[in-house]
Amino acid sequence: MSRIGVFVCHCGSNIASGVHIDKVVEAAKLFPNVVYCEDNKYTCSEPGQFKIKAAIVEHRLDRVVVCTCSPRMHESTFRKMLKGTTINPYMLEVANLREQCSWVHTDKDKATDKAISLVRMAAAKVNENTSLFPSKIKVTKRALVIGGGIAGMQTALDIADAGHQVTLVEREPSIGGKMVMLDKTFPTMDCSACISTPKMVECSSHPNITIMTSSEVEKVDGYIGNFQAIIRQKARYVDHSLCKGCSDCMDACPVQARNNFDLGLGKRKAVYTLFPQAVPNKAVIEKKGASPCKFNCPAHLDAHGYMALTGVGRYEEALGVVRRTTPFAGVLGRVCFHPCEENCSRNKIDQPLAIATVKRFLADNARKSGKLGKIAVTAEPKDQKIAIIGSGPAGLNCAYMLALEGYKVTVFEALPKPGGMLKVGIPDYRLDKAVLAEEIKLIEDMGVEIKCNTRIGKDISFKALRGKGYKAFFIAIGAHTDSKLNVPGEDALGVVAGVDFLRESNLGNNPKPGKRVIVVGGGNVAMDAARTALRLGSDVTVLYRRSEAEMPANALEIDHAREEGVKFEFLAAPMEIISENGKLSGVKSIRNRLGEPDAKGRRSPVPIPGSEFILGVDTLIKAIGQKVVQEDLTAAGFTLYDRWGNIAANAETKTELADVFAGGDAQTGPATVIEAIAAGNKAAKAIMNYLEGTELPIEPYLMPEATVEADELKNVPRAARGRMPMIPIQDRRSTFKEAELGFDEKTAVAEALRCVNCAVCSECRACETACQSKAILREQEDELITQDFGAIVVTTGYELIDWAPLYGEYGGGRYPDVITGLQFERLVNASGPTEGHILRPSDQTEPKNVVIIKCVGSRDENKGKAYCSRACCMYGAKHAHQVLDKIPDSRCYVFYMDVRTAGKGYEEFYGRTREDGAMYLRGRVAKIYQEGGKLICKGEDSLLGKAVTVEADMVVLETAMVPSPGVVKLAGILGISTDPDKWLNEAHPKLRPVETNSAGIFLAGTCQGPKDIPDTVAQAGAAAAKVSALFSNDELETNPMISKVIDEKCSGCGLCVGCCPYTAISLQEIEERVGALRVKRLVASVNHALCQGCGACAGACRPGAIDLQGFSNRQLLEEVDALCL
Amino acid sequence: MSQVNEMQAQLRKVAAELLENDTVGYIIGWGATRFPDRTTPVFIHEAKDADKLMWNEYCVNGLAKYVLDDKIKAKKIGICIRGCDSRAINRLIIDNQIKRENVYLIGLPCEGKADKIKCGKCAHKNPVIHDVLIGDLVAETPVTDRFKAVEDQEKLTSDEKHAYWKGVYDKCIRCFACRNVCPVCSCKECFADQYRVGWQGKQNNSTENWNYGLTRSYHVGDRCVECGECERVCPMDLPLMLQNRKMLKDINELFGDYECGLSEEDRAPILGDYDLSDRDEFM
Amino acid sequence: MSVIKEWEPKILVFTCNWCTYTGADLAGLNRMKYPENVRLVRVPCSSRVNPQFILRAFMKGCDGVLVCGCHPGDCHYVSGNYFTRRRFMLMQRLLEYNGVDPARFQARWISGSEAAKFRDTMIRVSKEIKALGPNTKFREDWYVKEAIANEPSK
Repeated sequence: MSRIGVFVCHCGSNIASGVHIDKVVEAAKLFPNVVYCEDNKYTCSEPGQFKIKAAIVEHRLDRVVVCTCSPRMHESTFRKMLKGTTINPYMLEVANLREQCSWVHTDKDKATDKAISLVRMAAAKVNENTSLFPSKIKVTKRALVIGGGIAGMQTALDIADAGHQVTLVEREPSIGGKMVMLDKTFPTMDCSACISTPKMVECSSHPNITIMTSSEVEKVDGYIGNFQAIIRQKARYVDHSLCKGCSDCMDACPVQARNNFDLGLGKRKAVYTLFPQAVPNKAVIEKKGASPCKFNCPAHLDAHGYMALTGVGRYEEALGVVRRTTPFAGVLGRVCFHPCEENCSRNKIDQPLAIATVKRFLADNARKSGKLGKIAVTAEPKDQKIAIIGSGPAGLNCAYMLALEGYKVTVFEALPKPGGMLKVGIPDYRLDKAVLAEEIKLIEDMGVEIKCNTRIGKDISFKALRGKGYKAFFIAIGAHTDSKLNVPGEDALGVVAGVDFLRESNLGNNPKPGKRVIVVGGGNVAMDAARTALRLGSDVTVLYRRSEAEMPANALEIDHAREEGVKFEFLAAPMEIISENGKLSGVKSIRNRLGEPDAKGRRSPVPIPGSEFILGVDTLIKAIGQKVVQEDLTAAGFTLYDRWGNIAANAETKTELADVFAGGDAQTGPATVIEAIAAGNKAAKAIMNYLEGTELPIEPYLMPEATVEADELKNVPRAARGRMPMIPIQDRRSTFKEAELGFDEKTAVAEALRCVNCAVCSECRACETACQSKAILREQEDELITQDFGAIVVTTGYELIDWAPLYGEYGGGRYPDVITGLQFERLVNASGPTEGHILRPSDQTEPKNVVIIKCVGSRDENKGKAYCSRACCMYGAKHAHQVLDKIPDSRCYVFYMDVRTAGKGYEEFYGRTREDGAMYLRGRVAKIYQEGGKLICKGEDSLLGKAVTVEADMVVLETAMVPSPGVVKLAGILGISTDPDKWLNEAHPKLRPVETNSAGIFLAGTCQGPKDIPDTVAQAGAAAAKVSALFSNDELETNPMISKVIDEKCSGCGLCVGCCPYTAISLQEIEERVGALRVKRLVASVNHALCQGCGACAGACRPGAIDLQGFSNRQLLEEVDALCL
Repeated sequence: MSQVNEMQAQLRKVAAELLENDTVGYIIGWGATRFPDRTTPVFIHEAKDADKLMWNEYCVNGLAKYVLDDKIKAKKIGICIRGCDSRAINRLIIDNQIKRENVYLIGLPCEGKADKIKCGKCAHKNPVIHDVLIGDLVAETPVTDRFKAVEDQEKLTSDEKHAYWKGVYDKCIRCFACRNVCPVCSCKECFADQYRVGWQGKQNNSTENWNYGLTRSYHVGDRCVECGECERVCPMDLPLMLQNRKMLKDINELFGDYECGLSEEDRAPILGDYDLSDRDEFM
Repeated sequence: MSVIKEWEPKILVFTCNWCTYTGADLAGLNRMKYPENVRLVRVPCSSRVNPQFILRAFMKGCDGVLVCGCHPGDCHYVSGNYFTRRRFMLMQRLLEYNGVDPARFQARWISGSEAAKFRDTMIRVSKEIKALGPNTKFREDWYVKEAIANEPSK
C-alpha cells in the first residue's frame, strides 16, 4: 500500500477564485491510498515547500501529488525539493489546476468537479510511479572539429581556450579554407589573409589543438560524450616530422600541375604547399597513382619521370631516371615496342607521346655531348660471386642491377660478341651496334666481367662454377634455334633459319641469300630477315598463312618493310620444299582462307583445296618462331624444362635448384627486349633475396594505374606527335645504316611537354635528391587513426556551384574570360597567379569593361538553386569597387535581381560602390558570346524595360554557394540529416541553430546554409560555447524518464527499432534457460545515452515489452481509468 | 485425386530422404486421424515413419506456428508448407522469430482444401518460398472479392455495425484459440494475459471481448497473411477475418498495395514505418 | 434520473507535452474559456499514445477521445507524429467499422502557439460529443455505475 500526500495550492487567488479548494481537499481525502491532504496559499513558496517536507515526515508519505499551476512551470521545482527528502524526485505528479482549470472555466462548481477529477487522475497515476535514478555517462573532453576553414578554426580556438583538447581535421593540405583565398573582406576592405592567417598560426601553435591536414573522417561510432572516430590520414609522401618547409623540392620538381588553390588560373608543382602561408607549412606530393606509361611497361620504367625532366631540359637527370631500371636507354629508345605509348592517355585526344624516341634522344644527346659518363656504384662492394649465363638484355640487365648493389658478377657468353639477340638478332639498320657496345661498356665499367666464346656445357659447367665459388646463377641464354616447318624437304640446302641468317649477317659474315628469297612467317624476326635479305640485294617475298591483320609483327616494321620493297604473299603456307639434286629450287604452297576464331580469338587458316602454286626460290628463310637450345644446358647438368621446352622457372625466376635462376626468352619463349630487361631485374632481386636471406618484393614498387578520362583532357591544347626523320629510302634499300635518325633537342622537348601528367607526380624522384632532410617518403600509404571524442563540430563549409553545365548561354565554360567571383578573388589577390593585377586569363591584358552578374545559380529554381546565397550581393559590390579602384578609367556593370545589404555597414558600402561609378542594372544577362576580343553580354534593364548590350573584356559570375562535396556522405557517417539542398539540418531553426538532432554533434558556418564571415564566426563561437558547456562536467546525467525493455516480454520483432528517431534501440542477443539448455535470442535494448524519452517505441510495442518510465502503460491506463470515474 | 496421391508419395519419399541424410531433425506435416475426413499435424522424427505423412484435401491445419515451439532449434526443422504457410514462414522470418536457415521448407502447391471459408479468398496457392517443391506449380486464380465482405459491412450505419459486432462479441468465449493458432501472433506474452498491467480485464463480457478482439485485429492487422486459421479454429465460428481484413483494406487504400509475407525482405511493417507523404487528416 | 438531466460528457484529450499541452497552458494564460468536460492527459509525444488507451477509455465510459500532437515536421522528437498519424488513421477507421461514431475519436495537430485553435477545438469537440449523448457502445456498465456513484457533484 502506498501512502500518497495531496497538496492543493490556492496560488493566491489564482486557483482559489475559480475552484472550491475545500471541496477538492475533502474529495481527495477519499481517493485510494491518499493518506494526507492539505491546502497551501503558495505551495511553490519556501514555506509551502517546507510544509510538504514536514508532511512527508509526519505522515510517512512515499509519493506526492501537487495541485498547482502547469507542471511545465513548477514540476522541476518540486522535484528539486524532493531531492532533500526520503522520497525519490520522480514519485511526484502535478495536477494542473490553474492554466487548465481555474483560468479557463467560468462555472466554479463545474470547475471544482474537473479539479477533483484532475487530482484523482494525478493520484491514480502517482500510485503507479516508481523511483527513477538518472544514470551517468562519462564525457571524453576532446572535441573533433571537421573542416579547417574560418568556422573550424574559430570553433577549435574557442574550445581550446576553454581548456579542452581539440582535433581539427582538414581535407586539404592546409587549414584556412575559403577565407584565405579571398583578397579583401567587405565592408571594411581589410585584407582577408591578414585577419585569417593569424588564426591559422594560432591554431597550429595552440597547445590544446592537434591539426590533421590531408585527412578525412572515415567512421564515427558512439554517442554524446563518447564518440569514437576513425580518421584517414591520406598519404602525403612527405615525412612532416622532417620537412622543414623549405621549397627545395618544389624548385626541383619538373611537373607543372593545375593549381587548385588558384582555381586553375595558375600552375604549381606536383610537390607543393597549398599557398605560401600554409599551415602546416610542409610540402605534400600529389600522386594519383602510377602513370599509364609506367604502369604498363613490363619493367615499369619511370617514363613519366624522364619525360617530365626532358620537358624542362634536364637531360642528364632524365637519363639517370632511365638508368635506375636499365643502362640500355639508347637500345630501348630504338628497338622497344613501347607498350607505354600504346597506353598513353593522349591516345584519348590525339596521338600518344613518342616516349621511346625521347628516351633515344636522351642517350644520343648524352653520347654526342660526351656526357654518357659512367654509372657510379654507390653500394658497398660485396664479395659474393654471381655467374650469369648469356649476355642478352636479360643477362646484362641482371648483371647491371647486381653490380649496382656491389656484387661481383661474371657474364658468360657463347658467341664472340656480347649482347645476345640485341647483337645478333636485331639488324644494324634498326640498332646501330656502336650504341649497344657503348651501353654494354657502361656495365663492364661497373666491374662486370663478360667472358665471350664461353659456352655453357662445353667450356663451363655449374659444378665447376660452384667450385670456383659462384654463389648464384642466372640462366638467360635466350631462344636461338628455330622451330621446324614440318614439311617435306625441309632440310634441303638453302633452307635457313631466320635467327641463324640474322646472326650470320649481324656478325658480319655477310651471307649470300641469292636472287630470290622467300621468308616464311609474320613475326618481327621475319621482318628483320626480309629487310636484311633485301639490303643484301635479294628480291624478297614474305609468305604468311594468315592475313596482314593477324601478323604478330609490329605494324611500323611491316610498313617500313613494304616501303623498302618487300613483297607479301598473305594467306599462303608452304606445303613442300622442292629441290633439285639436294639444292633448293622452289616451294610448293597452298592458299588459305580464314576459319573460325580459336580460343584466343585468332582466326586460324584453312587450306583451300586445289589452290596449290609453286614459287621459285634460291633461299628460304624460316621465321616461324624460336626455341631454346637445350643441349648445352643439359650437358652442363641442368635439365628442368616446361612442356614448351622452355626453362622451368616461376614468376620470380626461381628454378627448382635453390641457387639457379632463369629468365628472358629462355624462360618465357621469344618475347621483347623490355620484357627480357624486366626479367633480368626480377632475377637480380630474387638472387639478392637468396643471398641475403631477405624477402624484398621482386617487382618494383607500383601504385594502381592513374587513368585519365577523355573529358578530363577536353581543355588540353591539341598537338601532333613529333615526326621521326629517316634516311633516304634508297639508302634504306641498299645499306645497313640506321633508318631512323631520332629527334633533335627541340622536337624532343616539345614532345616531352605534350605529357598531360596523368599521375601528377612523375616519380622522377628529383625531390628526393633535392631534399636536404630526406623527408620524401615515396612509398607512404594512407593511415587510419582512431580517437575518442566527447563532441563533434561540423564546419565543412561550402563550394561554388558548378555553373558551366547549367549556363550554356554564358559560354558553359568555353570563354576563359568568364570567371567566378572566387577566381576574381585570386586574380586580385597579391599572392595570386597575377600578383594582384586584374588580367584576363586569355591574354593577360587588363580589362577595361567588366560585367558582374549576380544570382548565377541562386534564386533561379529552374537552373540552379531556389535559395538566396546571401553573401553575393556584398562581394559583388566589393568586386565592382575593386575593379574601379585598381583599373584606371575602367567601367563596371553589375546585373542584379535585388540588392540585399542586410548587415552592419553593408548598405553604406553598397552606396559607396555606386558613388565609385559602378553601374547597377536590374535584370539577368540572357546571353554572352565572343566577338573579337570582346564578350558581348546581352541582357535587359527591367527598370527601364529595354534591352541592354555591354561589350565586356571580362565577366565575373557571382555564383551560388552549395554544400561542399562529400557532406552527404559525412552526414551519413555522423547520422545527421540534410535538407533538400544538402545543407546540414540544425535541430531547431530558431532556438537550436548550432545543434543537430544527434546529441553531442554541432554545426557552424556555411555547412548549415549560405552566410558571410561575421555570421560564420558568430556561429563558430556559439558551437564552441555548447561544446564547452558539455565539457564543463565530467559526467552527464541522463534523463531517467526513458524507455526500458522487459526482456522476458520482448520477442525481438524489432518494430520499435524502426520507430526510434535517435537510433537508441538495437537488437541485442541474450541467453535464456530453456529446460536444461541455455539458448540465445534477440531482444531490443535501449541506449540510455541516446534515448530522449519520446515513447514512440512504447506506443508501438504490442505486448508492452518496451515501456516509457514516468509515462508507463500502467500509469497512463490508471490515469485514463481515473478520468472516467 | 491421383495427382494428389502422386504428390503424397513424392512427399513421403522426400521426407524419408531428408531424415535419412540428416538434413532435418524432424518434419512437421499432416497425418491420419480416426476420421477419413480429418488430418492432424504430425511430427515425423524417423525415416521409417515418413509414410505417416498425408497429403489430401483434408490437410487444412496451418503448420507454420509450430516452429515457434522449438525453442532450441538444435537441427533444421522440416516443414510442409502451402501458399498460406509459406507467407506465414516469411512473416516469422521478417519478425526475427526464426532464421531462414532454421527451417527446411517442403513446398506443396495447393488447390484449396475442404475448408472453403479458409481457402475461399486464397491468392497464393503456390508456396512463395520453398527449399524443395512437391508436384508442379498450380495456376493462381486472381481474387476479386478480397474485401467484398468488408465493403458490405462498411455500408451499415454505425448502430447496425455496433449491433453486429456486439452480437459477435457476446458469443466470444475468449478461449484465445484464434491467438494461439495465429502465425503472426508471435509475442512472448500476449497483452491479453497481462492482467497486472491492465490491458485486459478478466470478466467475460462483450466489452472485454471487444477490447480483446479489436486489439488483436489491430495487432495483427499490418502483418496478417490471410491464412484464415483464426476463423477456422474459432469454436464459436466468429467472423474474425472480417475484422482483420478491414485493417488490410485500409492499409491498402492509405499506404499502397500490401500483402504480407510474400518475400523474406518484406516492406517494413506499416506501423513501424512512416512516409512524409502519408495522407494527413488531422489538420 | 437526475444524472441524465445535467449530463456532461467526459472527454479525454491526450496532449503532447511540447505543443498542445503548452498551447493549453497558453490558453490559460490568456484566460480563454472552454468547456469543463475536457480533461488533458499529458504525454511526452503523441506517438507515446498506445491505441489501446483509446479502447480503454471507451470501455470505462469515456464519451470522446482526442489525440493532439505537433504539426507534421515540427515534432519535438523529429518523427514521432508521423507514427501517430498512421496509427490513428487506422484506429479511427477500425473504431468506426465497429460502430463507434467517428466524432467520438479524433486527432488534431495543435502547436504550442495555437491557444485559440486549442480552445476552438475543445469547444467544437465537446459540442459534437454532447450532441451524440453518452457513449453506451462497448461500455462496461457495472463500471459506470460506480462512476455515477462517485460523481462528486451530488
